Amino acid sequence: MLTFNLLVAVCAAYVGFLFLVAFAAEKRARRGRAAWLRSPLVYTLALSIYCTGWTFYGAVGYAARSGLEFVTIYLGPTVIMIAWWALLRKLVRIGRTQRVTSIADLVSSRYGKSTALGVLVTLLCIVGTTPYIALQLQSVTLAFAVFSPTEAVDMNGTALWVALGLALFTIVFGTRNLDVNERHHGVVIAIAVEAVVKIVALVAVGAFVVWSVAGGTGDILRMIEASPIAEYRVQPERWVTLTFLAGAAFLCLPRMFHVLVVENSDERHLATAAWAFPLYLLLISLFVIPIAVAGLAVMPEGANPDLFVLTVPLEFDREGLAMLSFLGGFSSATSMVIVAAIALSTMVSNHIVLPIWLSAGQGGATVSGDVRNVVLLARRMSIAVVLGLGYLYYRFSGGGEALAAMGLIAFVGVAQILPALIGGIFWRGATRIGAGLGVSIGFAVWIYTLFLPSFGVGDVLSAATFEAGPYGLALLRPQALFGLDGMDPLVHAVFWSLALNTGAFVLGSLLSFPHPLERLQGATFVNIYRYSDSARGWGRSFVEAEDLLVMAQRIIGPMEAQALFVSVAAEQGKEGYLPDVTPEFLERLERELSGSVGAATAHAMLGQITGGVTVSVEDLMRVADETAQMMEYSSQLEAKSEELQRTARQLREANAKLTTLSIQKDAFLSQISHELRTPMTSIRAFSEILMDGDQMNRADRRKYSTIIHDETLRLTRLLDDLLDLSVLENGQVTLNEAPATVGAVLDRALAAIESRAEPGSLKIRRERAREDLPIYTDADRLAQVFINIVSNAQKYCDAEAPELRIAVQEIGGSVAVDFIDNGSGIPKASQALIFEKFARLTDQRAAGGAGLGLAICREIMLRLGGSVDYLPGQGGAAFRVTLPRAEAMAAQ
Amino acid sequence: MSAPREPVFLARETYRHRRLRDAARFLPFLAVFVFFIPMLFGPEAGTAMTKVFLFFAWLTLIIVSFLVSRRLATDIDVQQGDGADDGQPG
Repeated sequence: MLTFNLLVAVCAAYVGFLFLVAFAAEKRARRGRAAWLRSPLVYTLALSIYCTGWTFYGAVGYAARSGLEFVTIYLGPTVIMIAWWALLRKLVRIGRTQRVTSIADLVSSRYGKSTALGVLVTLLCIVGTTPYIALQLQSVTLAFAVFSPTEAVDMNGTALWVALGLALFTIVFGTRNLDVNERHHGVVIAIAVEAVVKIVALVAVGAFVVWSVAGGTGDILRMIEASPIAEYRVQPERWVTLTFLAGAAFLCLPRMFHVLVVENSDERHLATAAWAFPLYLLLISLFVIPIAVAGLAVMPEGANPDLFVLTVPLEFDREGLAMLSFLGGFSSATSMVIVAAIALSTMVSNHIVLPIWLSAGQGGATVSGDVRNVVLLARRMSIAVVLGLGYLYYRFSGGGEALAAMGLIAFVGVAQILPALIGGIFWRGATRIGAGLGVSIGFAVWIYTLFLPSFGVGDVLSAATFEAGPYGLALLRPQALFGLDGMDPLVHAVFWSLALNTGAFVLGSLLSFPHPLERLQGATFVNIYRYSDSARGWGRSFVEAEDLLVMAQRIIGPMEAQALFVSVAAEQGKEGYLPDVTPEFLERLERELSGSVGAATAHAMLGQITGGVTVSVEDLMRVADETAQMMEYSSQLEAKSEELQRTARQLREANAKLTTLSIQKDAFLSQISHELRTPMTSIRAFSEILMDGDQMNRADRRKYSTIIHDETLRLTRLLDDLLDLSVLENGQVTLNEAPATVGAVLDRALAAIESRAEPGSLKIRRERAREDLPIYTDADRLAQVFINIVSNAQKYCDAEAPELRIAVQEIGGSVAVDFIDNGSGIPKASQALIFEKFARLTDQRAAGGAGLGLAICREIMLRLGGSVDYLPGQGGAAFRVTLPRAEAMAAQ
Repeated sequence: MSAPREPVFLARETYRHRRLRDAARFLPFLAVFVFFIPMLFGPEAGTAMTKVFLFFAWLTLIIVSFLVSRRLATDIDVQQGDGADDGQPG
């Protein structure tokens, strides 16, 4: 016969074994050989903390009372696991890139690192989990009691010892260090071992029942049909509600989120867990009905069906099996409590203790001293407090039937996080206000319609409240809210809490306006696959890297902080410990810190040092609406291609210009040499004649020397012109600008021409009345232009009675001086050429020019801020000289 | 150098993988559908029969999930690129 003492001894040995396993795993992990500790199999087994003592003992009890309905609790998580590709992968990716430490951290971080939301979710989780922990303590104590039917076991004492032992284990392995990744190798391995123990135990008991008690699968099916369980019929509304609820709880329970997201080290593990965990659940639930049926058949009337897993083997004197079964139940309960305590303590320390500590001024981020000690102490205290609360709840609830219903009630409680969670990762428009409203309303409705009524009629809520509603308000009856009577209380509570929760969440999000950080986080979370590098929330700030190092050392430890700073500095191409404080660096630092103290606290601490957050416009642009993004992108592309086209066009033009210039230069050179050679030839020829001609008469000599002289003059003029042009083209010319009038300059030019031309050859007509326009210019240079144009008319005008009309007028802000002769003009094809160097239309050598005149004119006018153009359609050759007016010049 | 047929093969492979992801997205809906079928069973359907149906459907889903997930896991390799610590079969 198993004695109570033997049981305690086996139990202690088992716990000791778990300590050893956890210790060995931690040791291995520290030596960097954690690969197999982090295999997909271990991950899947760790997920099995979903199956708590409530599952191990309670599922059979549930089946004995409501038949197949218990299976919905495992169908929900199966659906969620199968949805890993679209849902869990995203959660895990977000968890890793954002260094999420808990579900409260995820919600807080998503909604702009809101401290208030973190506190709210933490409170909700504590309220939802405390009774759950009490339930585990109860299951262990009940199991102990089974083995000592004669001795009066001090139930409360047992529960206290179990709670103390669990607290010790959790503190030792759960708060060993402030891991940057918040991963606990020892704990994970221990719960994986426990997962194996519990499934082996349950399958062993099940196999015993099917093949030993019943005699085979056919027999057990017949037994099922014959038992009272067979009367159960699927109730659709409960079936749907429970399946949904279990799926929601699987995501939202703090311990599940911890294992699923925080402890996940590789997304690929999800691919294995996607089928392996449903398989685990299937095996767990496969024998539940047979055990329940056998228990109902063989156990005496009134036996607690919750303990059939233990009592059925004992009834058949299979003590070894019963012992295994006990260890399975013990494992289920302890693993749940350990992980729940870790998850809750992380939340409490990061979202409640640290913010209070920070705002109390104790932890001003610039004060020296190790924050890690504070965090660790907060966690250890939190673990003790959470387990203490569970124990107290167990003591004061009396451990009765009310507690058995606690599992589902807790599910509904934590499911209130679901809208904010799912909305947060799939809907960018979800805001902090909406999430806060939704969670708090759902929380309140849950407390009122399910949690408080669970204590029983007349306990917290009076019988009158149940019957007629508070203060006689029938619409607010806790189990028939708004007159919705006749519903199953659980379905009623799920319906109203989640409907109002979701409604408030959606409406609140639609009507409120998120602040920039919230929008940034929203976009980052929703588009996590695109922004895996995480969005920046920091602008450039003028904080010293040294201050940051001081703070980081206090939170993540000196070694880790220094390593981080050195590596960032190295990436920036700097040596030493102090990198430049760039927004990227601040972002990375914040993520590292939030791995230890949570997003909101890390953000607040950095904010204290850097003097607040600035979300840059580019960051907001980056996360603007997707359409806007696409448009921005395509317009950028368009602009780029336009720019490219423009550049190509410019290049083509420049190339054409260069080619033309090169051709012009060649032409110019050949022209120049031609122009120089012609006079040179005649000078040489005539000087030779002079040298040889001793008997030359005076008249001849005079004639020849005159020719030589003329040619020299021509050469000089040509060189002068060339020099002039080159000076003008290089912009080296200095202008002596002064006020003048058009008339005065014209007078000067015409006087100069008359002095050297034979009078009367060209008749000039002027309108002196209109010439009195003030100009501000270099009169000498302008006169040079006029002279050139007028003498051109003299040379080339082919009319019988050549006549030049000079018309002065004001066009816009400038003065136009038109020189129009009555000759045959210049053919259209040549009009563009005449301003080029050496462009002479006819070979009138007699004209004596080198063909540089108009080119010089054009350069001069360019310098004077005006222009000279050929004016077509005037009946003869016409040139327009345009000058800025004096006022216009002065205005500049 | 490979034969010119290869690009066709690659495109086909990519296409298959995309559809595999679609399958992974559809699978939860199939699961919900299958799990809700017992609600339609009439009163003559016994607990044993419902149980056999449910567990059979459950097992089938697990097998399908295994087949789909096993191949999708390699997709994560490519996208994630940080799983260098544990070797995988080439």
